[in-house]
Amino acid sequence: MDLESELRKAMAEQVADASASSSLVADVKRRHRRRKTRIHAAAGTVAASIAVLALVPTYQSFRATPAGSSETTRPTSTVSAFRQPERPPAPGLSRPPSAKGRPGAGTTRHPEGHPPGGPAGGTRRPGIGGLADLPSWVTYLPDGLTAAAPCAVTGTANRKTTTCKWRGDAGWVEIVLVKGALAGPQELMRSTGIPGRTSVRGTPALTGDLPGSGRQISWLAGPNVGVTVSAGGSATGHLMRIAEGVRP
Amino acid sequence: MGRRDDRSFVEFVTERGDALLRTAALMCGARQDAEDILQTALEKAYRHWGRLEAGSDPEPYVRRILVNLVISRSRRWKVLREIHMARLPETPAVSPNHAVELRGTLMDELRKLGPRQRAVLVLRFWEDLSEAETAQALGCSVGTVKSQASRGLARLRERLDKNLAPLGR
Repeated sequence: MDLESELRKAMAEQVADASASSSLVADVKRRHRRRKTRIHAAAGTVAASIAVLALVPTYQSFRATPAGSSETTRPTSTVSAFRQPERPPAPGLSRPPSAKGRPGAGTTRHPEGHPPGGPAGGTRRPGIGGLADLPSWVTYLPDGLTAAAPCAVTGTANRKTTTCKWRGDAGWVEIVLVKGALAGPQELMRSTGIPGRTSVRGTPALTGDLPGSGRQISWLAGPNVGVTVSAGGSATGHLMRIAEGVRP
Repeated sequence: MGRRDDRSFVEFVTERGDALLRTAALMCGARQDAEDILQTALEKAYRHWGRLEAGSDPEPYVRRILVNLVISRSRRWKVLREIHMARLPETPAVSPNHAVELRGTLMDELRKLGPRQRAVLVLRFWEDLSEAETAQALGCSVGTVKSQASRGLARLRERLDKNLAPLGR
């Protein structure tokens, strides 16, 4: 038996009636179009996901909660771009004993200037006494400080610098907000010596000692927005917490 | 040198579609699988059709895609195939037409070979490709084609002897 020739005949018999569909070309092209559509849809989904992931930190940075908000979080040493830093109430601000007693507690954040549960229903600035004029972008200051002077705004049309100072038994705190073209946090550093590296809400920051037992931290809170927080005395221990609470 | 256009793809498929489907059917063993694999292979070729030289023969390129797809799919479905093949073999019945019986058994045994060995036999004895052309289509050496063809035929012969013994052949 010649196996090769038998195999040829067997194969010929097997596929004798096989013929390609008349719509083969159309089917192939349809399959090609479907594949392209799938790829475009997948690429769109990936792009949308990336955009959302990129926008969340930006949104978080703009979603500032006023100082003294009763929504406080457990203190933590880790810093995440997706997590709000702790926001203890500003000194002197009354806080409801329980979140349950607050209308809408745990569901929505109340916009600045309208803290929840105010019995008078009017606008209530965080803090009392010297902290009554606390800027909205400062959400935490340690106890025992009063404003040394109203926040001063200096600079040109291209670069505006807002400087706020507080003093008290707890030492002193100075926050400088610079809006204008900035190459990096190193431009904001006033400390001498080699700055150390750290991060504020996931943003790279520089830190260094100031003359006279003070300490400062500088970072870019956004495009062309630089922040420097300096503290002296016992307030130095709250430097990072104050910095985390700055929401320009 | 010009590139291939959409019209040449339509002409190629119209002209060579049947032959490619038959090759795919022999390599797959099932007509429905063959049609699906052929469409997939042609779609893959269509993606890069514009890059092929106008004067070159696109069939070896398409055939190679086809062979690779069949082998890949066979590997993927190996477990299922083994379950399928785990059925008891049918007892050969004495038939008045021994030639028909022999070819049917041959095809059954061909399907039981490994995908690569089956592809070698189909390309060598159905497509009548040379050993070098078969090696090119499979992306292996000529020596591998020779050994695979020889082992495939030996296995077919061995199984045929076993299966056709009750028929007195």
